[in-house]
Amino acid sequence: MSANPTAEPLLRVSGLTVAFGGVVAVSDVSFDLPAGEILGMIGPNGAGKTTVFNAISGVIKGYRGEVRLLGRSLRGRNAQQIVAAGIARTFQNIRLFRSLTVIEHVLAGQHRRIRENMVDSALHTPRFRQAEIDAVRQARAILDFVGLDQVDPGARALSLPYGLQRRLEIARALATEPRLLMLDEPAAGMNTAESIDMSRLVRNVRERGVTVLLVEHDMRVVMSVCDRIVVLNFGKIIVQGPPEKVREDPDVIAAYLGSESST
Amino acid sequence: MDYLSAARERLIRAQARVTVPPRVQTAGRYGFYLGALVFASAPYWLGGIYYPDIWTDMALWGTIGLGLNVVIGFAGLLDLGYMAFYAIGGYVFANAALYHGFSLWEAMPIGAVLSVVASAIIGFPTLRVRGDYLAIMTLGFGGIVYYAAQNMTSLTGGYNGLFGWKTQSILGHPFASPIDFYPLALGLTVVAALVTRALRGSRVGRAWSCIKDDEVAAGAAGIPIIRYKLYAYMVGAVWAGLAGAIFAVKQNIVSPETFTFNQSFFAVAVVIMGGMGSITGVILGGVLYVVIAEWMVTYTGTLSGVIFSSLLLLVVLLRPQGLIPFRPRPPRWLLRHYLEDPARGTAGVSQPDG
Amino acid sequence: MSLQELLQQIANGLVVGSVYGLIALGYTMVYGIVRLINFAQGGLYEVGAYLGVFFFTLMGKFGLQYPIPAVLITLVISMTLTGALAFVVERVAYRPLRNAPLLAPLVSSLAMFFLLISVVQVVTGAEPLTYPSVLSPAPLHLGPIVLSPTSLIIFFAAILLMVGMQQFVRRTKVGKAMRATAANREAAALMGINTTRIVSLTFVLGGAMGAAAGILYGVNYGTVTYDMGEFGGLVAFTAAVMGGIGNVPGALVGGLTVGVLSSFASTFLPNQWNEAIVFAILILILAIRPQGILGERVAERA
Ligand SMILES: Nc1ncnc2c1ncn2[C@@H]1O[C@H](COP(=O)(O)OP(=O)(O)OP(=O)(O)O)[C@@H](O)[C@H]1O
Ligand SMILES: [Mg+2]
Repeated sequence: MSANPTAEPLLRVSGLTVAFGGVVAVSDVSFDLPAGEILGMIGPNGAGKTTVFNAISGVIKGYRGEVRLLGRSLRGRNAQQIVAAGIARTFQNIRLFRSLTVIEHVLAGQHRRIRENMVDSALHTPRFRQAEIDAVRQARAILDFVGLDQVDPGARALSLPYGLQRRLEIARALATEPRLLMLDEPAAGMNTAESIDMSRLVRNVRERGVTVLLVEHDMRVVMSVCDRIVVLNFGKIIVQGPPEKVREDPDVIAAYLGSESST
Repeated sequence: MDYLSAARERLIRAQARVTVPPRVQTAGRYGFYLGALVFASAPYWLGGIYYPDIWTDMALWGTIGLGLNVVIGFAGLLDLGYMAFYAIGGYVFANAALYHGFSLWEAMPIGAVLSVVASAIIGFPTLRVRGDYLAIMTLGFGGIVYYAAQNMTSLTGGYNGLFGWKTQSILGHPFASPIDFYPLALGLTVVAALVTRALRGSRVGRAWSCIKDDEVAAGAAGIPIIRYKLYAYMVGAVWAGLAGAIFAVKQNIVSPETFTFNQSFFAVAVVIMGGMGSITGVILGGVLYVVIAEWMVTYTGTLSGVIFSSLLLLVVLLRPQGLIPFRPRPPRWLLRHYLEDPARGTAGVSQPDG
Repeated sequence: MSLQELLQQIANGLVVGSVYGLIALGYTMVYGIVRLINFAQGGLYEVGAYLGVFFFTLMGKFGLQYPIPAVLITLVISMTLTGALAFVVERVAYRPLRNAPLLAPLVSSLAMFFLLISVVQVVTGAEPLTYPSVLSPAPLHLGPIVLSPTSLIIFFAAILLMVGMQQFVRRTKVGKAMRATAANREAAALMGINTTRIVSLTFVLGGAMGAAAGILYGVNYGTVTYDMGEFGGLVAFTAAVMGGIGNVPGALVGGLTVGVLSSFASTFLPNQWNEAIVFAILILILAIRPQGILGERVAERA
């Protein structure tokens, strides 16, 4: 009884449970993410937000419950297959490649789409050159899009200031041409002006037709960009709904007051 | 606070004006090429049989370094059994020449293919495990090949090895003296250098770098990790397989002592001392290895192991990037295309040199 | 194979296995704390064995005839010296690279291993050395099994050392600090544990166990060779992985298992394939069950 794919939400998480040894980090989490939405996921430190990301993106494989993309289960797929299916992510503790330059990060994200085989690569055939030139043009467009147009593409990524490193991670993720982009605290450590810039970028991503799942502690960002919000506490969803409803919810306020929120 | 960081950001943006870096140190570069040419041609003007022999060894160890560099330097996989592939190349040649009448030219590709097959067989179960376990497993694999070489007497001649094939030749010119092998070995080094360099600057090379730096992030970029590790293994094995055949011809014998754990350890030392990822670096590493092994050992006897391990330790501690570090830089022609995007023109972007 | 032969092979395997277990203890304890295969462990085992020959012979020269005290004194001195050497190894080859990428400490410990065995080779001229035979060679008959008294003593000495180490880690305050450091280094440091000192201590204890293994091996087989560290190190590493690396009692289980397995391998297969078989077992175990028989103690964090 497979449903009509258009009736399926883009992402459906049902009964997701992740345990580390005895610690249950995520317990029975279910939510739907329709295509085109920006869904926020918030909750105090240690609530299990990153763990949800890790399960969806295939970093953690041993979970219970189901993660479905357009109705197809992602269970048992590895990280790269999940990227191929159309889910990209960034990391809370920025994970850029220490030996790669800025532009190479975007080219790495384009990996699956660059059409060159081993022989092309070994001999630098005309096909290789053309593939690289096309890739570089696209990389340029992506870097422009995330606001890295003024950065030296040949600089080591780790030499960039922190805020720009976050943007580069987003560029790498976008380069995989995802349907769903998962951002893990993209505005962490940013000042007001920078977070406003980041909010704008997240909205622009959605304008490009990419659905967004956003984990963020900065409430200004969350409240200004999200269509809906899921609140996690101790691994469980305590509330989900539109920002106005979540903002007022007594359980949410209690969760944050009870555990010392970072904002 | 806000003003301050906004000002900082403006400063950073101003500093990071996008440019195609001009080709640097042209004089130094030509000096380097000239020096390399003089050095590589040394056997011809030094003459005799000793120098050509030594220089052939340098070329072979340069090739070994280049092949293992793909595995360690590009993909970040510590392989402690690399010389097993060198052994396979040598024994395949010996068998093909002795029992099937093949020439070196016919045997070399077979040896390379079998090395690649062997690398895939060993790589398939091993590349799933953590890096440190992989090191141990490759050590075990090298050990198995070594003991197989000793015990599978019908294929390998056991302790005595295989020898006695007829003299190989190229275009009717026989390989009789060391100076005849030298161009062959050197040619292999040059091809290995060009091919591995090309790979490094391509999609495969980027995938390897990503895997070396951070496997989780590489997976998130959509790179198939195990497949690319296997590629690194297989590409690396090709060069040892080819070099092993030339080595066999040069020595007139293949026997197990050349493929011990010690040899594999020295190969690792060549790559790490030379500079992981650096083409010039690992060739220099190979040259240094032969220099130390040949010349120092004649004076110090068994001290070579002590010298090598101390040197390796010193390099790892004091200069972990190796003697000639690899600095990743995207190629200039690509950067030029980056800047030539017609949609943007060149506004706001300076573009020196055409 | 008759039942009697079978039992005999098991007994022989257990004796060698107990020695492997001792070396494995060094790998496992260090791995548990710093998440690093300390390749140097095989070298320390070899150095310990050679120091053992040296002091043993020395004591013979001074006329110390009673075998048991001679073995004990040799053990204590060699274990202390090798422990000190392990301390140096940690200082030189591990500590400066604590925050470097994994490859760096792996290579440095590999270089250390090679340095140790090369030094042994240079000093002894690559000649095998013989241990003076200590006990009466009259074999003991235990039911159908024949064992030399030496191997029995070795077996029990090895087990004793391992159980002692296990109790030390489990019961003492320092042992508790070691376990805390293994579980979570940062948290342990926050709790006021001097983790740097704990790391040092772990290397030292591991080295001392390796030395003890080397001496017991030498006493059992009568000779030591400069390449014993390579093979012994590898086999013991297999043992450590089998028992679940990071798992102290696992080292004993793994050691005994590998010992019995290799003892069987040598009965059924031609002798010269012995080493190759052990290597093949090693690869299989790591490929099929890298978490070992008893499971891994240390959880990897993503
Ligand atoms: N690999 C792991 N092994 C063991 N425990 C883990 C692991 N990853 C996460 N945890 C635990 O799971 C719980 C949830 O962690 P998680 O990182 O998902 O929280 P979070 O909501 O992202 O918090 P933060 O806002 O601090 O990023 C925490 O108690 C954490 O210690
Ligand atoms: Mg988190």
